[in-house]
Amino acid sequence: MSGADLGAAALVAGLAMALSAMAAGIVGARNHNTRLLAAARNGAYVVAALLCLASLTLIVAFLTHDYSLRYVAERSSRSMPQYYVVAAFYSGQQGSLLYWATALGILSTLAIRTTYHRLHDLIGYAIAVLMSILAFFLLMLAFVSTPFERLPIPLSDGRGLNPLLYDSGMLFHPPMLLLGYASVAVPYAFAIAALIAGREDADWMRITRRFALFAWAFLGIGNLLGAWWAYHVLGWGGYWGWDPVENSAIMPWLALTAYIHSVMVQQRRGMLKVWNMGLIITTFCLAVQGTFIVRSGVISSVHSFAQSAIGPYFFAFLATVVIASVTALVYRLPVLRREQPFESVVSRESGFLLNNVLLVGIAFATYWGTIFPILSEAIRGVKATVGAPFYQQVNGPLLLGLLVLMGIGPLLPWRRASHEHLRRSFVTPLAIAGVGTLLLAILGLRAPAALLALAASIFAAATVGWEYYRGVRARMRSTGEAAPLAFVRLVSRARSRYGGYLVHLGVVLIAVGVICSSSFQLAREATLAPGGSMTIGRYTLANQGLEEGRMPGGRTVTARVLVTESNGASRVVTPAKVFYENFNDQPATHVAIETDDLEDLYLVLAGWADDGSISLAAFVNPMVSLIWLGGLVLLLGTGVTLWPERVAVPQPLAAPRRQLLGVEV
Amino acid sequence: MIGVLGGFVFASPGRAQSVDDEAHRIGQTLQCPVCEGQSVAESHSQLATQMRTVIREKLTAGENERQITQYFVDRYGESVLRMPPRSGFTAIAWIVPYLAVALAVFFLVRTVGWRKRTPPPVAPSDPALDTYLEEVDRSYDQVRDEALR
Repeated sequence: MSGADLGAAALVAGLAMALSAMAAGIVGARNHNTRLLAAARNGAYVVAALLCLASLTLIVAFLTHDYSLRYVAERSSRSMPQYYVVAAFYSGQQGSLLYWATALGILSTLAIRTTYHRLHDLIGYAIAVLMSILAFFLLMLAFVSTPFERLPIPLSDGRGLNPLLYDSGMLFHPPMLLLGYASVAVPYAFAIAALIAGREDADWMRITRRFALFAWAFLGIGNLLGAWWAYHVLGWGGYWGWDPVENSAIMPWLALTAYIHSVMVQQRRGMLKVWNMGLIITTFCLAVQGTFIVRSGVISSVHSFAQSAIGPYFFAFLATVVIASVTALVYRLPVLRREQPFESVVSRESGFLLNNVLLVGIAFATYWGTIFPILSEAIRGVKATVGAPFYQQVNGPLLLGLLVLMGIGPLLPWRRASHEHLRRSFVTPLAIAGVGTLLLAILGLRAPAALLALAASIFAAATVGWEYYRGVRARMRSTGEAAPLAFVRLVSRARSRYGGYLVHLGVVLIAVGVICSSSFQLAREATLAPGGSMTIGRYTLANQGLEEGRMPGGRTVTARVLVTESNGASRVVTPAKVFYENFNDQPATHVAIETDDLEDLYLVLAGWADDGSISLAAFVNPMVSLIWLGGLVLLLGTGVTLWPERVAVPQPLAAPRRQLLGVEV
Repeated sequence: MIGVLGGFVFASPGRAQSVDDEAHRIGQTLQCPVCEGQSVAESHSQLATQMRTVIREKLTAGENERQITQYFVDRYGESVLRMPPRSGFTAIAWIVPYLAVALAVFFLVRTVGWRKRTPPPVAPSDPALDTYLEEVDRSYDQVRDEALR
């Protein structure tokens, strides 16, 4: 039996196992049968193992150049660099579905292991939900869209990957984003399990919070990596185009951001129970939709829906998810009563509510913009175009509101705020924001929209700084520790809060990068004769020659451009176009990006002529590096939040704290 | 850094736009008819490059944005506009999102209860106490977790 046959068999076996684990989970949960629950758990582990096995056989097939498999033949070739061969694994529909399922299998194993005892009444249903999702994917992989389909005649060499994908972005963005999509299933499964089991409290949310955060982090990183990849490969000077696939990737992230905020309200005050359920269900549906849009090209027009083989199946799956989830939600509506009333408009609860409204509003507007062309075509036969300017105008104000809210929210207390409290909390961050904005205006930045947005950014960052400062100062006073130790202890004792603040800081950095690079971008296009030059911003670009070259797998056309800055510094950059064998009409663009003082000089070789003259598209993109830096800070903050805490042995109150509380013990 | 910030002075839209900048901006509002979702400003296709040249020529000849845009709409139809026109059927595209957010804010305000009686003021919370209370909450949760294991 060859590896591929083993893989195919593993998929079928996995399907059978998933279905039986699902049944065991449901029956075991209903009857509180520990043996059945254990069987369900073990079944889930076996499914994960079988998926890993199938993935492994496919990877081996790629590495051993097994061109009897259609998938391997279409996506790799003998002349491909070795590490891209592995990336080819998830480059196509079948492989990425297998990757998705395997990722979920592994995550399910981890989730089940860590919650089996703590959520014993839920775990059976959670396993059932996870297994049913995996069963669908296994069904697709085994019978509808299988990576192990054999060619009637094995080829001697494969077609190879599209040359646009020969970039480090290909090694990171798809696996991260697909992992993000798949990992949303875990908090979703536990939410549905809580619904079915009729849980009233929010304890299960506290325990499953890290699954939601994990999914959120990978969805976010996946999107950022996609933007980074688009920026330095596609060569149009930007990083986000609001196209349907990008939109489908950002929507679940937006909904999940709303969710991780509003669950804090439910945990703290027992409110928003129905809303949170609806939100996580919506997030999962968006994640499923995102997966299939990116893998089946569904959205470009009404008519292409039927072209993909998995389209109808996916639609049925999504419909089932929606119907089943809503049914469970409606059935448990009586259990999801609000425990405490809203007390004041000026409170953290209403801040989180507004946060949700804005985030869901942006997601809705994005969704609407994505489907409007289809609606327009269906209703009046004329396809309207909804491009980036629409989203910028509609989402822009909402995003600005979110930035401002990021500054306000952490300073608001729960329940209600007194005037005294507001004054003490807000004065410093607002003052910092005011001074900062004034400085910017004095330095010459007068564009009102950008100035407003940057003011909000400074405010949000000032809030983070102020919260850290207050926390460290309070700790120093109560425990007598020195500042650095107090800082470390503070963050360590309240990782959720201070990690979250760090995440906010990351978002602010990204926001500043986006604001500056979109408001202040310079763009010039010119044709330069040999020796000719053009200027853009503080740079002068001179054509120093055109070279053609050969490289393994293709030929290159490289321009040598001398970049001279206004301060005299100069260097040579080499934007190029690469023509790969088999893909001669789709040359890949090698963009020359020089980053200096947080500003990117971005050069694309758009065209050339026989006499050595070149057409250059030149951009100056300010502050783009802040976006990537912000992503790292975001990741760091999430890491801090997720860092597991040692189980602390309850300590008796230390003397300074007893004094602080005025307690005599 | 100051140099970059100073560079903003040149880039700030408050100053007179060069023809190139204006052409780029108009190009960004038009969809390249033969490309997958790229604007005229972004695409490297032959048609897009030609369109960019046309835009520059028209700008130099003194035409304004609306005339230039209308020129392309006459030739390629409404779908060359990257923003749906704000009149006619496509006005719906704009109304729906704003309406949705307005409705949401309305329900938000209703849920939170704008016209509630002012409750008695609460003592301002001390950050030290906040962190300590969170610690207590967490210790309790952890002990309870241990008990359930």
